[in-house]
Amino acid sequence: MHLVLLQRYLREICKKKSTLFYMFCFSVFMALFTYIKYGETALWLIWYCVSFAASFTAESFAGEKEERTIETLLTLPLDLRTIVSARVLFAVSVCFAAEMVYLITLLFAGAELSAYFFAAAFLLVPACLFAFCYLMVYFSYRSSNVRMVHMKSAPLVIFHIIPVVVCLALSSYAALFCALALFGIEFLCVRSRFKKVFSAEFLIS
Amino acid sequence: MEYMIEMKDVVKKFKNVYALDGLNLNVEKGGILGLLGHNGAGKTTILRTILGLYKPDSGDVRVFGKNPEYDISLRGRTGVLCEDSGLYESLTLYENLVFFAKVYRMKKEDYDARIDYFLEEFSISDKKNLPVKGFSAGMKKKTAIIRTLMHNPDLVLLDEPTNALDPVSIDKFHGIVQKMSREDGTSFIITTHNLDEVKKICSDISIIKQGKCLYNQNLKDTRELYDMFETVIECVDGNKITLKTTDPKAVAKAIRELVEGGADICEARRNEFDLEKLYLSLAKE
Repeated sequence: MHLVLLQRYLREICKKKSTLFYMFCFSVFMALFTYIKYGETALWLIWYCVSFAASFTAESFAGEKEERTIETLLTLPLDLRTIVSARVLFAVSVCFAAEMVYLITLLFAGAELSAYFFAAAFLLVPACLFAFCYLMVYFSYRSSNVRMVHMKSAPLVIFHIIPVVVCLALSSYAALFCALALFGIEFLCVRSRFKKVFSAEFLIS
Repeated sequence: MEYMIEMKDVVKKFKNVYALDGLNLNVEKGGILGLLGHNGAGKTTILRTILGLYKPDSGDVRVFGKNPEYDISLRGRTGVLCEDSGLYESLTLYENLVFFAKVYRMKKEDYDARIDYFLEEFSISDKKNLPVKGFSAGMKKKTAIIRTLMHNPDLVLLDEPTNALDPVSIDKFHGIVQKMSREDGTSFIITTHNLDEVKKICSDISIIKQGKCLYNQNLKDTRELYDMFETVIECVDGNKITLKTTDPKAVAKAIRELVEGGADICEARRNEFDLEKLYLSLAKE
C-alpha cells in the first residue's frame, strides 16, 4: 500500500512542473553558493533538505483537510500509520533526489568531497530528515491547514541551521556533534509523540 | 435473516452532546436503507461509526459480523461516498480512479473494464483524461459515485448521493443501485433529504432524530400501512370528505349514499403513500 500512496504523491508533484524546476535550480544554486563561499560544507545539506521536507510534509494531513479529501482517504482500507509512513518516505525520497542534484553540482564544480561529507550526506542527513519529517507530519495531523503547520514548525526548521552556524564559527567536528544532538532530540520527540496512536476520529471531527 | 450491519444500543457522545443515543439499526443483505433525519440528527455519525472511524462510547456495532473498529479490512468490502467528492484535483479522472482501484487491490484488467463501463453509463467517457480540477460539482459527484461502486463492494454507504446530479444521471444511478442490490446482493445505506428518491429505490427506511431511531420499517409494510389510511371524496362545491379506509366496497357505499343525498361528486381519490407526511409527523413529535 505504501507504493500505491507513493505513486499518487509522485503523480501529484509531477503535475507541479514549476515546483520541480525551482527545486532543481535552488539545489544547483545552493551547491555553488556554499562551495564558492565556504568550501565544502556538508552540514548545509541538513538545513537545506529540511526546508524542502517541511513543505512536502506540511501538506500530509493538513493539505488533505484543506482539499477536503481526508474523510474519503480514511474510509479506505488503509491504516493511519501506513499513510503517515508513506508521507515521510515520500518527503525523504524527494529531498534525497534534491541532495543528489546538490552533490552532482558540487562534483561538476570540481569540489573534492571527503569521507566526512559522504558520511554526513548519506547517513546523518537521511536520519535527521526521517526524524524531522515524522515531527512535521505530527504537526500536520494537529493542524487544520497548511499555513498553521508552517507557523507551528517554523522554530523547528530554524533549529536546523544551528549545525551550520557551529560549523562556520567553530569546527566541522563540533558541528557534527551538534547535528547528532539535534537528531537525538528529534528522535526522542518522535518516540514520545508516536506512542500516542493517531486517531481517525480526531482528524474528521 | 442475514444482517450486513447490526447496531445495538449504540451511544456516541461529543463532549456533552449525544450524537447517537441508544441507536438500534439492522441492514440485511441486499437491502437498501434510506436514512432520513434533520441536519445534525446523527446520520453521518452513523455512517462513520459503521466504518469504525468513530468509536462508540457504549453498545455494539457489527459489520459483516466483525467489529469495524479493529478490522480495517472490512473497508475493502465497503464503498463510501462522503458529502465531499474526495477527489484529488490535480489528477485526471482516470488517475483518481486508478489510485482508488489500487487501494482496493483490483487488477488492472478488472478496474479498466469497470471504469469504462461506468464512464459509459454516466456519459463521461470523453472526460477520462482531463484533470478533475475543472469539473463541475455534478461531474465530480459522478466520478465519486464511480469510485464508490467500481470495486463491486458488498456494502455501500452513500451520504446524499444525488446532490448536484442532473435528472438523467439520477435515473441512471438509481438503476445501478437497484441492479447491484438485486443481482449482487449489495446492501446500501443512503442518507438523503430527497423523499421521492427514498420512495423510488429504498426497501427500508429509518427516521433518525437526535441520535435515536424513531421509525425503522420495511417500506412495503409502511406503504401498506399508510395506503389503507384514507380516501378523499371531493364535491363540485369544494367540500371534501375524507374516509379512513381504502376498502373499495366501503368507498362505493359512501359515494352512493352521498349521491343519493344530493351531493355532486366530481372526484374520489385514494391518497398515495405520503412519506413526507409520515416523516413530518414523526420528526415533529
